[in-house]
Amino acid sequence: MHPEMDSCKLPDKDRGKSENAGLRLDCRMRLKATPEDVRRALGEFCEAVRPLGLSAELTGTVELVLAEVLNNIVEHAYAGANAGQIEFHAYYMDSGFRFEIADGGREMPGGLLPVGDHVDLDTDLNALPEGGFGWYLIHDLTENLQYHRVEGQNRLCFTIPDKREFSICGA
Amino acid sequence: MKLEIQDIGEARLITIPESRIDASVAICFKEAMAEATKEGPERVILDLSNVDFIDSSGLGAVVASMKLLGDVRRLELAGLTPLVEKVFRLTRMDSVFTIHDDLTGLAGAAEGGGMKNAS
Repeated sequence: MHPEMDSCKLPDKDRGKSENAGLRLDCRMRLKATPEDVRRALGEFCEAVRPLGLSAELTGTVELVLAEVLNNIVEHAYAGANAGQIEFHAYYMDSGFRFEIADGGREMPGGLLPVGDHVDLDTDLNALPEGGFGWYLIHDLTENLQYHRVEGQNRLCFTIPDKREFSICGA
Repeated sequence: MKLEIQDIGEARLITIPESRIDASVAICFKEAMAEATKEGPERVILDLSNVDFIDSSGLGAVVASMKLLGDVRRLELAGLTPLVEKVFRLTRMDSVFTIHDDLTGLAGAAEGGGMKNAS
């Protein structure tokens, strides 16, 4: 099954001073929680974003963060069960992207957002970590990251700013 | 996943022909790397110049591939595109691998020249 793009709008610029002034993309998708559907959904989302003419760095960051978030849902919330759905809502305004992502999988451990510590690299070759990088990247590359468990759903919201001065440099 | 393998001088150059090393191919990539490095020169250079996207699963598979080489052999990386470089830098994995900007003069250095196909 292919990811469904429910709607993807590039709103008219002449909407002027409505409450949506500055909104340049409003995109909703629904996908099945499998690695292959995540890959396809990322491809479709990148196509939808292309007309905005954003920098390769910003679109690369967005694709990376979404890959980490969506793959976490596939691998942990649904634990490879391949049956669940993921709902995805993205907006782009001049200040950057805002994402709201929901799934019906299992709750985050302890009902809390995982911390994104650096993995310990001061170790022998054989003890080098092969995982644990995902939440670090998500925390590092997003702002206003929030997790809520609502009505049996996981809901994750975050922003990715489109302003060089707001980007995180070695924080 | 099919990897391209070339032995040049004292090094094995492995090129990834695909543009993405993500969660959907990480296991296949790791298996292909195990096969590609089962034997051959001690020095292994992984050419990432075709790869424009890597996620944490792909990064983990590259780390796993290095561990498979054991204590004596080392995995070096070359040709990192901007996003791939960013993922290695943010996770500080750039401190674990020897990373070359490009392939020029790398494996062929022992032969007194640039990169040449020895086959």
